[in-house]
Formats: sequence, structure tokens, C-alpha cells
Amino acid sequence: MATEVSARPTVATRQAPSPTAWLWWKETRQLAPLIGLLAAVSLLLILVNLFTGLMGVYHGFRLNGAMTMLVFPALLATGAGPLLVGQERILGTMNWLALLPISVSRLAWTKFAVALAGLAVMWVFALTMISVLDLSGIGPSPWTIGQRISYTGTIYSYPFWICHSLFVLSSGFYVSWRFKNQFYAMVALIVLAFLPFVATSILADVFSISQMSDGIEWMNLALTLVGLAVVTPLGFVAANTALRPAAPDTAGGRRIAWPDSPAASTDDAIPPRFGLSWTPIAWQSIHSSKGMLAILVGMLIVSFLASMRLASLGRLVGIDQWMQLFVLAAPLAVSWLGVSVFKNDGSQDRVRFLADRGVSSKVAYFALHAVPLAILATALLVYGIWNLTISHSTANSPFAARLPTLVVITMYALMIYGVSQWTSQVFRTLMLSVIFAPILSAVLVGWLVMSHVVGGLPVYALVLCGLLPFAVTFLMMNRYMDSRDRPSGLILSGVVLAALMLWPIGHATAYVLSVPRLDDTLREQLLSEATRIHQPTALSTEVRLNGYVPTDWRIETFDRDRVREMEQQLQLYQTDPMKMVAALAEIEPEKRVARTYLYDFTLWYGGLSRARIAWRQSPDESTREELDGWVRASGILLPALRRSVRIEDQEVADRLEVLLIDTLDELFAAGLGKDEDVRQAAANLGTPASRAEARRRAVLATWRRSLIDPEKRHRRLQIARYSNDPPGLVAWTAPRWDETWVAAMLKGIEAAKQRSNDDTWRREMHELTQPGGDFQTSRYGDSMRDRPAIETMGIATITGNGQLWGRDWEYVEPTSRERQSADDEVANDE
Amino acid sequence: MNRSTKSSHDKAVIATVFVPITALLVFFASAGAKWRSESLQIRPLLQRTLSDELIDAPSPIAVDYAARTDSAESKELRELIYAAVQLNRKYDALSAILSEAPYSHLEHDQPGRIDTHLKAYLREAAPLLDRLDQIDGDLHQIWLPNELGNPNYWSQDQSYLIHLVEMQFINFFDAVRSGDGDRALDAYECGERTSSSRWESQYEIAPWIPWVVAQELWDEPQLKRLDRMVASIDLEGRWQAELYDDIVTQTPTLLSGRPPRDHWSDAQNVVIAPSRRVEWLRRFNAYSDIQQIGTRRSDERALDIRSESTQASQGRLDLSLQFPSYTGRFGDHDAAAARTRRSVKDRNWQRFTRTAIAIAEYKLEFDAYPDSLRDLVKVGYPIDQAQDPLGRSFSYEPTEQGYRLGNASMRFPTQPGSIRSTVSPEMILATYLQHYREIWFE
Repeated sequence: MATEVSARPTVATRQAPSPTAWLWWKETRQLAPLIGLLAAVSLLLILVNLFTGLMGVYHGFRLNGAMTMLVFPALLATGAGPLLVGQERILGTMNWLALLPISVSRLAWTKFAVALAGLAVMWVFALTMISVLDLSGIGPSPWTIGQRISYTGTIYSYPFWICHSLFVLSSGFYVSWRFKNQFYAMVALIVLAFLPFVATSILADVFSISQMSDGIEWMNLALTLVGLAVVTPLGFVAANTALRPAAPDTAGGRRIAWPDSPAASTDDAIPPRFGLSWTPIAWQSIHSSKGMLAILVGMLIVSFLASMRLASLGRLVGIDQWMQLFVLAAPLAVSWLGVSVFKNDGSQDRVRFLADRGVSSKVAYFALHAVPLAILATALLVYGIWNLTISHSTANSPFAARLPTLVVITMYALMIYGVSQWTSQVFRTLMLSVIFAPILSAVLVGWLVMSHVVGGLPVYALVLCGLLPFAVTFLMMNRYMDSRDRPSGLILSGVVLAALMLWPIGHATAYVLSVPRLDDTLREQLLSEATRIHQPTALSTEVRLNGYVPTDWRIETFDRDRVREMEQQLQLYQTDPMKMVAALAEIEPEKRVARTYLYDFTLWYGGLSRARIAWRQSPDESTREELDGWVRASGILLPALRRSVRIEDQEVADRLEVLLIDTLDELFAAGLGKDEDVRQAAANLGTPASRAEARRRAVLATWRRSLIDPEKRHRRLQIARYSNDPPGLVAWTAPRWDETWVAAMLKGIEAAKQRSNDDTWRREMHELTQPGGDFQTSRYGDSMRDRPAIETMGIATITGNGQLWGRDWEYVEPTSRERQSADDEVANDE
Repeated sequence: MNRSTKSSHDKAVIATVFVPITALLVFFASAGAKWRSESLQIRPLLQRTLSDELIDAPSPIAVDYAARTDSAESKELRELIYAAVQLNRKYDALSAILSEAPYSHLEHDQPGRIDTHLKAYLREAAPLLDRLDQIDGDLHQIWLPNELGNPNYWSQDQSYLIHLVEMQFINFFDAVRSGDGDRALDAYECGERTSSSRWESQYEIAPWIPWVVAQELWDEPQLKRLDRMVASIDLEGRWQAELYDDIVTQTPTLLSGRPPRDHWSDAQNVVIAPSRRVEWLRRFNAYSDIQQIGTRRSDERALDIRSESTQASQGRLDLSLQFPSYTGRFGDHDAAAARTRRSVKDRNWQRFTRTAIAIAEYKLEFDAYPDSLRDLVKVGYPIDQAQDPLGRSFSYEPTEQGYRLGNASMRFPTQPGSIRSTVSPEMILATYLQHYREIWFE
């Protein structure tokens, strides 16, 4: 970051200008980009969250809004010290500042105060966002300390977060004054930042205090305040030490211009010799950042050891819970490995040096990647081999059971690494890269993985998206080496960032649009027809076919007389079919509409079947009378059900009609065709045309209801196809599938009316109800339909609408039954 | 810079960079090769049990059931099932009262009142029971083949078979109450034909059979008939049939590696590595080879197979390419072991019931109960058939008025805990049998 310093005051005031106003201004300008970037990333996250919210995502990548906002002040606290102090030290501008007539303490205090102000601004921003977007959730106030387990959406209370961010800020200043190498300072800061938590855990473990108790937060707070009290003065002491006159820099008795240059630490007796163009660059990338690479390898090892521990534990208790945090060291290390590609010694001068000596950008590119990729490959190999040796059963360790396979972790690692190396090429300074690379990696990888899991982004697109950052850095390498990558690099990065964000959206849009829907004109026409379908509620009757509902017999009480209760229930239980349909025969029976439930029909089916079996077993007057009652009642119920505009009722009507026809056939065959009840019921049977009309009305009205009340869509339309769609896209695809359903159903109605053998609609319905299954053995397949409907129809469940349509039962004329009956009688007489 | 020769530093850098990267690529290539080689083993392993036609069918389970069942019979059975559903709904409380405490209700609590309702129920159920008697064969085999093998299938027809079991349960108790031994045996026989291991009913008759034997309801020919029925229960056949159902159901996934979305245990993974599928098939074959189903040995063998396969699943290279996680139980590891354990219980019930029958026969022949189970040799019942899963004789002790027979050699707690947590005899018995039961011959 360029540091522009002017000795003149830049802000005019009525009072005499403060002698250090320019310093305030300079520091503020230096910190402003960090605040701006953090605010921008947080807004990006909010947008991602809003988008996932819109998709109605049930699982997968979903950030906690309040937590997301609270992380950003913490990130500012992390970055402020290294940016205001560390960066100036590495660029050498701190030496220049030290020469100015300002006391060390004033310089240090000014920087600290600016950082404090920045932190305050960030807190105001975060809390404003939380309150404006209502992210805090429900439950106790987040301002109350000590209610750790709450439903506020945050693990800790706001006062604790604020104190902790102050502690991190002070620690950031301390480590930046203490260590000149920015990366070391950053790693030390991360360790310091977690110290209060680790100390709390250890103390809680020692004193056997539950990690979930409310007192834990108080303990955390106390330790954080102690840390704050210790680290803040230490920071100023370190500032005084850092800014006092330095001893002459020497290395091996020779004075060197850049004490922090790799050359300072390279003191081989025999200088290395190379025969290849890329090997010296790779060699240099190891030797110029041995410490950084060692720390990164150390982080990978720590993460691996923590994973080994977790994979051996069935349950996490006490301090072992922190192992999960240590596991996160690996993705952080991978991200920083990516950062090390272009910022491994903290400056851009190295690649400039290579460019000046005519090193090809391609060679330099691959050489810079060689060592980090080798470390990454080693880590992945160790991970792959380790996984061959452990058990992945949930009983053994839930952690081990969830471990991604090598191919998946390789994909994740390369994506994180790719985004991070891209970030490190875009940002000029190591510090910004170190802070933003992990965040951007997390956001972009999270976005892409979420797009895959809930948005259906295919794996190949995921891989291509993962490779895009590599393509950007490769394309920009030449310009980057010559420091000519502005603004083209920024523009290209912006384009690629937009592509990474928009590709999944574009894919999702294409997916949704690929779901067929009705033609606009036809849609309008059918909706208009559906709107005209009107059913007067006064004539609509809910027919309960299941009699009295007994109470729950599993409730145990000591003084219950269960036999008496059963007797009372038997008195109330109503199984007379004519009484059940009595309401349909009262006023305007020819207009009455019946509404019922499939379970009720199950009992109706059972009642009629029982009467049939009884009559078959002993055909006498009483059994005949009972069967007649069921037949008569079914004859009344059937047309009333056909008048209903609910598709469920049409399904029940289909089943009832199949049952009634089968029963009538049996009665006709027994020579009872002249019986009044039988003739009446036969007369109430539908025709293909009347059924088609009733079904069309029901399909359109049901579709219209699903538009008004989408929540009940699945239950009504019996479409299983929704669940094959990426879960995040169902909200958009479902209405289109509904229209596909409408189109298929209308085709089916027409086919049944015309007695057509066209199976197009059945194949469409099969895909909607049993997606991916075998059509021929499905409910809509020919092998099922070739058998009589009465033998194959499901009773207790509707497993897809229209299965009974267009089958043979629909086309037997009532008159043919009578003729058959008469023929049988004649044959019997003869 | 001399570009013609590689220096030692060049070599060091090349080794540092390329060795790990190459090793990783080799690892992936090996995993791919392993994937391929394991995939090739699946079909031959399937062919040991299934025909090529069945393996290649789009839905093997649908083809298999279509060959075994008949839709016309399904219609008949469905008519009966729903008739029973409707009747049982009306008398919803009756079977609940009987199943919870039949003895106390029948004998002490509400004498006479229950009988009225039993008779009323059976009057209404008579045509259904008659019709049920006329249907031969294995009733639970009749179901809808065309609903199988496709995603999102669900049919309640088969689960509703439990209503026929319930009907026979009530019939059985009424027959016992009325002293109608033949009808009680008929009800038991029909209930057994109807009940299915897939849909267990809470109204099973079998647990009550030893108790009724001790009531001296049945005469000698009836006891002989009952003994034949109990002895003919084919636990091995049931075990093999259930295994066969498993493999037919899972064949499409075994071949493709893609589990159906709507059921099965491995919902997490999109693709299952071939070695896991081969492991399942090997386990399946090992389970098929288990002998002496119903003995402790068979159960221990099942547990060994399960644990062997868990250990064997480690170190499989192709798992590295499974997507997305290493986990993923393929099929239900515990189901087979649970079945062998249930078989031990069933075998014990079989021996316990036959021992009770032998005691009743002894009483009929000698007009006295045997003093010891060894005396049952006199009615041709070998003593080794009167043993619990530990191989010890059932508890048989005198009471004030007669003898009591236990379903194990000793009393044991009813909370068994997990298997292998302890090897005490009580815990082993509790694990297998769940409850200690006694019947009184008085």
C-alpha cells in the first residue's frame, strides 16, 4: 500500500492545526481500505445469504447472519496492527517516520488511536447491519453476558465480542512491533487471539467446569481483560524497542542493503549452481521464506494430528472440543500456501528481479507454484494414505465418518489454493493477502460448493470454476512481473469474480428454464377456464366414511373400565353406508358434491368387500340386504364424488367406480341384474365422456389451488419429481413441473375419452411420480395396465394420479352387462 | 547459467517438487485401477445367486415378484385385507385388551363381558375367516409386483396384512376360551401363514401357544398336530429367503454404485465405491453360508462376519474416489445380525413350545407330570431339544400344585444392554430372549 505523507496539515480548521493532524490523516487513509474491503466482503456475504434464503435452502452452505457480521470487527482488529505498523516496518517508511520530530509514544499512540476509531466504526457498521437486517435472531438479549447457550444466533454476547476484539487489536499492535516479518506477526497474533479461549478450556478442564455452563463466558471475559491489560502496555514497550536506533545490519561480517532479504540468510560456503531455468526460482522460493513454509507445514501437521485425535474419539468432551479448531489450521495453511506463491517474502521485488533478468513469465509462474504445490501434494498424499488406515464408521468416530474422500478434499484444496494465489497476485501487500485470501477462499469455495449441493452446479463446472483463478494469474503473470498489472489485472479479476458468482446462477437459471411448461397462450386459456370453475360451498358435503373415531387405547390409567369404554364406542360406531351418505340425498341430490379422504375410502372399500364376502359365503336374505345397502350407497356417493373439483376425490371416485363395476358384474353374473338397487347403481356409473369432464375440472381446479397455496402442492399433485431437482431450485421448478403435470393429465384425460393407446402422457406421469425408474414395470407401464384395474389398484395410497384412466373398466357399457345377464339367465333356463 | 546439465541442486529441487506430486498422481491412478478391478468382480459375485436375466432386468425385484405372485390372487387377498381393516377398526379396542393382558381379562377382571364382544366380533368375522381358510399357500407373498423397483414406491397393502393376523389372534383367543382346540390350531396355522417378518404384528399368536399348551386344551392328536406345525417352522428357509430379498432389492445399486435417493442407508454418498459393494456381496455370501440358524453359534458367526467386513473395509484404495465422503454403510450391516439373533429367539421358542407339548403329552400318557425333563424321553422327546441358547436345560421346577417350565435355564434381567458388554449367562440370555417366561403345569 502506498504511503503518502505530507508535512502540511491537510484539514483546515479554525483552531490552530494539531501538530500531528497530518499523521492522523495518513493513518486513517492507510486503514480506510481495510475497513472498506471488510465492509464490501460482509455485504457480499449478506447477498450470498439472501440468495440462499431465496432458494429456500434447507441444508448446505448457510451462514449465520449475526455471526457473520461479528466476524468483521474481529478481522479489522486482526489487520489493523499489522497494516499500520508491520507494513510500514517492512516498507521501511517506519524508519522515515522515526526520523520525524515526533515522540515514539506519540507515534505509537496515534496509530493505536486510529485503529481504535476504525474498530469503533466497524462495530457501528456491524451492529447497524445486524439491527437493520434483523439478524440477531430470537432468545435472550445478545448484550447479556453469561447466557452462552442461547438462541440469539451468537455463541458469545456482544460485550464479550467487543472486549475480545480490543484484545486482538492490542495484540496485533504488540506482535507488529515485536516481529518485523509480517507473516510471523500474523501467526503469532492468531495464537494470541485464541489464548483466552484455550486458557479457559484448560482451567475449566482442571476445575471440572462444564464447557457448556454459563460461567464459561465470564471466565473467558475475565481472561480476555487480563490479556488486554498485559498486552497493551507490552505493545508500547515493543514500539519503543523497535523504534530506537538500530545496530548496524550485518550478515556474515558483510554489510548488506536489505537485512530481511533472502540473501541475508543464505550463507552457503558454496553458492548453489543450477542447470535449469526454473529450479533457481523454486530453490529461492524455499530459501526466501523458510520460516513461513515451516509454519505452514507446521499448521498442516497440527491439523493432521488433531484429525487423528478426532478420528479416534467417539465423543468429544473437555479440551478435545478444541481439536476441531485445530483441524481448521489445514484450510488456513492451504490458503496461505496460495498466498506464498506471489508474496512469499512479503514483497513484489522478487518477481520484478526475475523479470529484469529476462526470465519467462511462464517459467516463473510454474516455478513459483512448484514448492507450494509440492507441499500441498504431500499433505494430500498423507491424508489419502492415513484414510486407508482408519475406520470410517459413525460408531467409531462421527468425525471420521464425515471425512471427505481424497478426490473431494483435493478439489477443495485446489480451489482454496487457487483463490488464494489469485488474491495474492491482486493485492499488493502480504498483509492484505494474508487477511483476505482465507476470507475470499471461504466465500468463493463456499458459494461454489453450495451451488453444487443445492443449486445443481455439475462437478465439471465446479472444477472449471476452480481452475479459473489459475487461468487469471497465469494470464496476468507477464504484466505482474513487470508491475504493469494495474488496471488490467483488476478488471480481469473483476470479470472472473463476476463469472464465478454468475456461472452457478446462470446454470441454475438454465436448469429451471429447461423444465417444460405450458405454452403462454394455453396457460392463460386454462387458467381462465380454471377460474370459471365454481363450486358452491353450500352444496359441498364432507362425507366421513369411517364411522366413529375411537380414542387412544394406549393411554394407561388405573381405574379405566376398558370393556365399558369399548361398549360405548361400539354403540357410537356407525357402519351403515346409507346413513353415511344420508347428507348427499337430502336437498338437491343431483347437485350435491361429496368430499372425502382416501383413508375413509379404505374403510368403505373394506365395508363393501366384507358384505360381498359374506354374501358369497352364504347368499341369503340378510347378507344380500347388507350388500344391497353398500351398492345403493355407492351409487349415491359416486356421482357426488364426480362433481367434486378436488383431484383426490376423483381418485377416490375412480377406485369406487372400479369397485362398484366389479361388484355389479358379480351381481349381474349371479342373475341379480334386475334388482332395483343394482339397476340404480349401474345407472349411476359414469361414461368416458362424463368422467373426462369431471377429471378435467378437477385437474384445472387443483392446479389453480396449488398456485394459490403452493405449500400443499406435493400432497395434492403427487409429484415426486420435485425431489430430484437440486433442493435450492425446487421453488422455481415446482410451478413448472405442476404445469407439466397439468399438460400430461389433460392428455391422459383426452386419451381415456378417445380410448387411445398413446402412452406419451403415461411416460410423462411416470417421470413425474417415479423419476428415473423403469417405465415398463411402473404404475403407468403396460404390464400393470394389461391386468384388470380391480386387481392392481392401490387402495390406501394414491401413488400417482390417473393410473386408472383409460383402462378397460372404463369402456364396458352398462347395457352389455344386462345383456350378458339376460344371456346367462337364458342359458341357465335351458 | 548453464542450461545443458543438471546440477545436484537442480536434482534436489526436481525431486522435492516432483516426487510428492507424482506420488499423489500415482495414488489416484492406483485408486482408479482398483475401482476398475473391483467393479469387475461384482457381476460374477451376483451370478452366484441370481440368473443373468434377473441381473440385467431394469428392475430385478419387480421381475422376481411378478414371477412369484399373481394379481388375481392379490385381488382376493386385498378384498379380505380391507374387510379385516374395516372390522378391526370397529372393534379397535378388543385386540388391544386381549394383547395387553388376555389372561387377567379373560379369567379374573371382566368375566363374561369380554366373551360377548368376542362372539359378536367373530360372528361378523366368520365369512372372512371362512374365505381365508380357502386360500392356500404363503399369504404374505401376494403383493403388487409393479410397485417394486421404482423410486418412490409405497404400498400399504402388504403392511395391512397384519389385520388378518389380528383377526386370527382374536379367533384364537375365543377358541381357547371356548375349549375349541381344533379352531385354535387352525387360527394359529393361518396366522403363521399370514404373518410376515417384514411387517411384524403386535397380535402374534405364537407367544401364547406354550401358555395354552399348559392349559391342557389340546388332546393327544391335536398336540401331535401342533408339534408337527411347530417343528416344521423353517428358520433356515426364512433366513435364506430374507437374504434373497435383500440381494434382489439391491442389485441395481450393486451394479451402478448409485443408491436410490428415497431409501437405503447411504443417503450421503452419490457414488459408492466398488470395494464397498464387493464387500457387501462377500458378506452376503458369507451370511448365506451360515449353518445351524437359530443357534448362538450362527449369531456369533454373523457378528464375526459383520466385524470382519468393517475391518476389511479399511485400506481400500478405491474409497479415495468415492463421492463425497469416506463413510457410507452400504446396505444394512446390522440387519443380518439382528435376524440371526431373532432366529435364536425363535429357535428357543420352538424348543420351549415343543418341550411344553412333550410335557402335556407325558401327562396324557402317564396321568402325571414328569419329575424331570429327562423323563420326556419316555414320550420320545430328546433332552437335547429342551435346552436354551446356552445349551442348558430349561428350568423345570415343582410348585405346590404341579410344575413350572421356564423358557431358559435361569431367570435373567429384562434390560440386556449391548452385546458383548458382558459374557455372563444372564446377560447372554437377556440379549437373545429379552424376557424370561414361565408356564405353569398345574
